[in-house]
Amino acid sequence: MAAKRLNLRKRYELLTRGMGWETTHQKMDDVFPYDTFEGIKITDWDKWEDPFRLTMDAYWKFQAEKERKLYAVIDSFAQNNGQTNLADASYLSAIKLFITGVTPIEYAAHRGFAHLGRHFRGDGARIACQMQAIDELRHQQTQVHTISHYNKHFDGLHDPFHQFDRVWYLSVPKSFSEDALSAGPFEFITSISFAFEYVLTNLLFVPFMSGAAYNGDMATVTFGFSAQSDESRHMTLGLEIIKFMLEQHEDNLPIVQRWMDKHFWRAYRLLALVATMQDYMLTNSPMSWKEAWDVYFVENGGALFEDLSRYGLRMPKYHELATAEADHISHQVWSVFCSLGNATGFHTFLPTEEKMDWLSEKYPDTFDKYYRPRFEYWHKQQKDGTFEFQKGLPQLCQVCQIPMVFTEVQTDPMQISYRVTEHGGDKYHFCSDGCKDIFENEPEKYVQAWLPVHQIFQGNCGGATIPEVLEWYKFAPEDCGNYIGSRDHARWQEWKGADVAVKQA
Amino acid sequence: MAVIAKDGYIDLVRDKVENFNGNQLVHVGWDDHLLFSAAQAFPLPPEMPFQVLVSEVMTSVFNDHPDFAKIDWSTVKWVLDGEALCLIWKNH
Repeated sequence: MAAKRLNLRKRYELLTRGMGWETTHQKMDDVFPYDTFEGIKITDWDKWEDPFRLTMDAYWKFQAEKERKLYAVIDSFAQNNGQTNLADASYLSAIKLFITGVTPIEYAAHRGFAHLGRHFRGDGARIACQMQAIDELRHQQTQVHTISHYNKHFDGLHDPFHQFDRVWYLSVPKSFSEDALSAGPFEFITSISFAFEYVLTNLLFVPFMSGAAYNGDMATVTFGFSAQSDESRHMTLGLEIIKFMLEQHEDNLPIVQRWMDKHFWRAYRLLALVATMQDYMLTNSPMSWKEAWDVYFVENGGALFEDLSRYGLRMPKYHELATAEADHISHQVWSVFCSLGNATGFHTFLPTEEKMDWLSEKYPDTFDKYYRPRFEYWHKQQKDGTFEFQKGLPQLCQVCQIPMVFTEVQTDPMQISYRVTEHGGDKYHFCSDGCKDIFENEPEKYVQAWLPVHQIFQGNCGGATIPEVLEWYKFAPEDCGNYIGSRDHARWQEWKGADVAVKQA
Repeated sequence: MAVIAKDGYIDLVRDKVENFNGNQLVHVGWDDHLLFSAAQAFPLPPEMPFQVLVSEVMTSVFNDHPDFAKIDWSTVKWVLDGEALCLIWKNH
């Protein structure tokens, strides 16, 4: 009699299930001490559906094939001086922001998934997290290898991991990742796998990768292609974990909704750095932040939550505000970077006439009215030689740690958004209700925030003066300041000819 | 609502006033003047007279704006954490 033919899912289950076991010498709760304290109830781990169904040998084969291709391209790029084909050297501010602000969070994700790969009670979930832990380490490594070529020829790329732990704008991604890392396993995976790697992933990936494609950065484009199949696995894991938690017990819904609200907001705030990169750092901008938000969140995200509504999950809180802010945040963040360009590890530059016309077209309701005036004023000052970087340090939000540049876009876009709450006799300040809600939900966590401006004032950042702080950051003088007149600019003109039209004013 | 943690949670307030070497953290923002992208942060001695905050500290940063020198301080409306702050300004 012929054996019953099994489908792929059943075959995989038979191959891999039963690798775990119920311990008898120790209590299961002692072997897995982290997966119940958050209040998430799992009644049956066997209901877990493996998102990737990969065996180890299949995994290595696929990954090895991609590595062979990727490193061949990286070698070729280096041998052929691919860096000379960039649209402009000023584009590399995007890559400098990437290596210092994104690559270290790949490493943080690796650490987080490695932890989960040990601490989830279900063996299927453990395997998925172990594979993702390897993927994230791979991303960090391939990004370092890809971008290291630029480090041979340009400034500001030399100490990304040292800077991630110290620099004022890098505390934004650092605190984001540490928030998740210091949470329990279910919150971590909701934050990273669902909110970040499913709901919002395209808003990180597409701007950088299409930005690379449109600006002659073949190396970064190739890294992006080699990460795509990893990202599709990660998205599947994110969706699976949400469905699993919501199907396991009805008590999980309010917890998951609260995490969704929190981590949507934290990740959205982090993406303000990507918005400004997309609109201002790219010499050729294929798509505006607002356009990307409309496609990847309003349309795609809307459809996703429509689908998940059957579980009782609703759209994340303050999503309407995020959509209203899409007209504003890139301009607001670039303004603060231009004002403090003496203290950034990447070069800043004012938008050219051409870029400002593009911004007028992409932001018809806001750019000319609220933002063009200040850029034109600074242009005039730079022409007159009267431009100076801002002398003071900005107020930071206690939770997202971004300078408080965001405004009441739904009522008065010229009014900075101020929120305040009291805890333990002290006042804490926030950029938004979203950040304030996060604080008020777990104040003991956020009163521990290491805020760069406050730490400078406490004397913990190398000294009381800006030069001392920049040295402590390991910013070399040639890393900072305006693009025009920088070493990167001089080198670019040497390669391209001094009469090449200057791409950035 | 308290933080949800497995064991005892570390009680650490990183920005207690004692950590600022005798100074008090003060943030000053100038409404409707977004040439300054955000409010400015200053570590100031608590005994600093308000007049000095205005004439020295704020001036050092906000003077970059052409409107600053034209301010009539007797008509300025002050707001502290969202609530109107009543000050009587005496020009000497």
